[in-house]
Amino acid sequence: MLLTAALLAQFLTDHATAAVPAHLATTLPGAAWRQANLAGPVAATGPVTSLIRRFFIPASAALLILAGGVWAVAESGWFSGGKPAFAAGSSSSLPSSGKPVAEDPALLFRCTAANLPAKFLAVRLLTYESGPASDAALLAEVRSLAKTGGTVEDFDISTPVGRTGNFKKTRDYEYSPDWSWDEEKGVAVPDSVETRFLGTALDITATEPEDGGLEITWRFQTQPAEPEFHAWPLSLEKSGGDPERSIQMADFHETGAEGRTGGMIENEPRLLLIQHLPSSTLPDAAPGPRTLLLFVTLNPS
Amino acid sequence: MKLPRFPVLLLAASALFSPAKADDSPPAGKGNIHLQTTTFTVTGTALPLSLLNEPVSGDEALFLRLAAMVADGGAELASDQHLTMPTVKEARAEAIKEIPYPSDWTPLPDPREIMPKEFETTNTGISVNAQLDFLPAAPPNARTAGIFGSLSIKSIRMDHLGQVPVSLPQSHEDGAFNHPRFPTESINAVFRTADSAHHLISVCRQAGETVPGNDVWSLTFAKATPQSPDGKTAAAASGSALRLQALTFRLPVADGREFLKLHAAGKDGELLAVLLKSHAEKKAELTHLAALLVEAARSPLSPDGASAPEETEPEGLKTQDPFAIPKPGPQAAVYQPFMMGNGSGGDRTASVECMEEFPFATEYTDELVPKSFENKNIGRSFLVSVVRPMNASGARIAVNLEHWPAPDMVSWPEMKEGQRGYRTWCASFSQTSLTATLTVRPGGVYCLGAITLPEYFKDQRADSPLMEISLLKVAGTGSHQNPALKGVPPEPELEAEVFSLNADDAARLETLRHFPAETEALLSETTGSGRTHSVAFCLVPGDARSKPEIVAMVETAVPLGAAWTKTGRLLATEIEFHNIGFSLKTVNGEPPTKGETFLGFQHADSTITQPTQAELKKAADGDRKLPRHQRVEMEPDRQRFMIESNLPFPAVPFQILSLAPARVPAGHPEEGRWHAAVVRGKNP
Repeated sequence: MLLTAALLAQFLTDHATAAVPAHLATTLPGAAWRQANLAGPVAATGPVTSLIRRFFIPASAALLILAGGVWAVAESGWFSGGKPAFAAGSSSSLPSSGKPVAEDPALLFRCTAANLPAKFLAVRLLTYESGPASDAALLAEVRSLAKTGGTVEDFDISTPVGRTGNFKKTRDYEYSPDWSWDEEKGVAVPDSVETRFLGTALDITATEPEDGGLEITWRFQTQPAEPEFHAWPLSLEKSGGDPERSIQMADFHETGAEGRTGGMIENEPRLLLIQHLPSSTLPDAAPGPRTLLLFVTLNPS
Repeated sequence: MKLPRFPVLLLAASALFSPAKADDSPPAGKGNIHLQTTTFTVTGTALPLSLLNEPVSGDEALFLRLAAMVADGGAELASDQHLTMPTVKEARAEAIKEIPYPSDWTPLPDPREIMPKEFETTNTGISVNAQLDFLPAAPPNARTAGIFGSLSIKSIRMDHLGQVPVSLPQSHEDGAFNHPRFPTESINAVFRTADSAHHLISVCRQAGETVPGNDVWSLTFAKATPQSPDGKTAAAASGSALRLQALTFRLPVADGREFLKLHAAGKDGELLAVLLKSHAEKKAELTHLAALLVEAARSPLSPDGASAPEETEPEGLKTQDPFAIPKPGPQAAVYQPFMMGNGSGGDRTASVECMEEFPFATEYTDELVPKSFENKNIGRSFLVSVVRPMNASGARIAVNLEHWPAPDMVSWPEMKEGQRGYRTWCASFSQTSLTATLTVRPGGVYCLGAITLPEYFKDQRADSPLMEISLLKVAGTGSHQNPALKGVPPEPELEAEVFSLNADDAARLETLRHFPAETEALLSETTGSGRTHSVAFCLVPGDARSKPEIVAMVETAVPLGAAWTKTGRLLATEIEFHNIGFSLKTVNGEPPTKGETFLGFQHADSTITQPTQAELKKAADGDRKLPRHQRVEMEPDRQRFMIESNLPFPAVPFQILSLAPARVPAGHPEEGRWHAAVVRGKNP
């Protein structure tokens, strides 16, 4: 970090009088403002440049070192509570109808979500028989297959019996559900902006039913693909007219399921869900259908 | 159909030697149910029609065959969900794509453009809801006798845009107004299984009335595997499920009336064979084909493993609620959540609906561009309720079949094909529907009804009028397949017909109208001699108590006025809709008295001439009203009649409902003739 700061300080010293290249300026946001100021006081005034060399550059280096320190402290978790681009975490809470069982030790549920090309397994899964041994074998095979295409993601939820534990790896996504057309500017203008989350969320509530064993009630939600934009042209011509004169609206892809599984046994993977995702539920550009699988393992070793 | 052998063997082997089958380890959990629902799609009617000769017990083999076809590209996997659920609680799985789209528009300065101002969102994709529970077996055996519950599967696609033609200024061709279409298949079923096998719960043509040549078929399977404490099920309770296959053929009236003689002779099996042959020879069109797995047993197994005592059909109209058990058995509570829940569709035992919304313009801009729309469902549905559970002579069921084809579009001013011009459009919706109640048993074929299609009906031919005949083929499994079952007596039947007679024969009929036998003889004699012909005909099984219904209607539109828009376009206004068609149904809302019922019989025919462009212009320049005689040459009051009669029940005698001159426009083929509407009941 110190080395970087020193190099940056040297760079600033060497380039303090250099103007922003015109071709670069025109490609940046606010290009017009920059262009208007290129020949202004900063580029042309000698005494100001001298002042910068004398005081500003050492101050910048010190500021950079300080900023680096703050960044390092923040990275270590001192300033939690910010809003990261993709928030991940798990927690547990009382279900609305649950009874507090504060003394119960927390159970660890390792959840595994896989998203594979359907061609890998879809036909074989048609005749899949779920069971303790077959679920474990399927999970192992899914992990292996994911190395050649697809994704496998593990996440842990820790919660005692009687509570709901949840996991979220989400980010906020702003979109506009309503639009109007600004005829003067010739652009679509959003009438409102709403926020929804993209990512994966899973709730697990563990209970001990009267007839024994451990049962989980689970609810899973994920977006298997990014939003896709669909143009609704203003033109009534069959050709669609000017493509710029259209409203772009976001199509969202979402998969959800909820169910219950009883007889949970430690270190034994359980299949909760297989969901074939046909092309019609995926973006138009998706190469083909997918298979989504969800497993849970209680207290994995 | 030749099967791809290698994939079938491979899949069969994988099914037989799957880890769970070979697995002797403890069960996955106490009381878990593994549910799998799968939908395949195939192109062409060959496979769906081949099921007519397949027993229900062959479903697992069919599933493997379709899985193999997916592997080699002969079928497509539309959905496959595996869920784990333990008890009566509801489980769900869905994979959706949210599609926002404009639903209302406002004009822009450039008349070739239009701006969306309201938006809606539809969730397309697959959603499955299930509510299942174990059927108890004989204590202390902890095994389950199977799984019972309800399934609801919905699939919505957005695979094409509907296009409403629009005339554009300064453009050399018509434009198009794009609408998203959402074909939807919806299946609800009461599901019972005890064999951990895949069961075909429905077959239907994919929704998509507006897709030209739509010949894609969906086959949906369900499988529920119980894992009771010992991981196995008790002796399978077989024999309660029926596969009901409904077929509707459209063919020339002359052929249809000839074929119906087989039905009159009690040979519905031969009638189906003849119709299938006509279909193969392209002389008859198969307009509706759907299959449902229907759970025909109402009571679960009693503790000793034998079937619960059979119930007799209650008297009176109370039989309309198939699950209103007069004497609840000890296990009635098991069934209650499923029967009353929304998942099984109220009192329906099974249903499959393939629909799409058809938008039609209700408002236009001054440039005659549509800016507001309403929607109407078009498609097909097949609904079944078990009125009386399976007993030694079969199960009594109520069947409802409906079909709304894609409408014909009427436009004003009417244009010749390929001609451009500013005009407004209106949809002319057609509909056929029937509701029939009958006793069925596995292996049987039953005529569900027949009806002639009215003029202006979708695809109706002027030179060779068409009619539709619907049949039901029933397949079963287990003990009810036993040929030693009691025979099913023929069903009572209601027929209605409109005859066209000359004036002399009409006079003779008038003198005989209170003598049913003589009246029928006269009509038979004059028909045989060619002096009398049939104008409309329908039949439907069931008695008045079971509220049979058969309808073939078309809604046609005619404008009553015309005006100029602000931009000088000629606009047809004051659109009036006329229902033309033929129906026989019980009149609702009238309290029936013992031995009597009310029947509604409606026959509305007309001759419609749409206004010409010159007539529209003349009206727009004048008082904006179209003169009636120029607009429509129809006599709705003279040929449409509704008769509500106190007809004795159960035997409906041959009865003349009306006899009147056919008051048609001059030059009409029926000019000078008389029309006699008759109804007759057959009560074996």
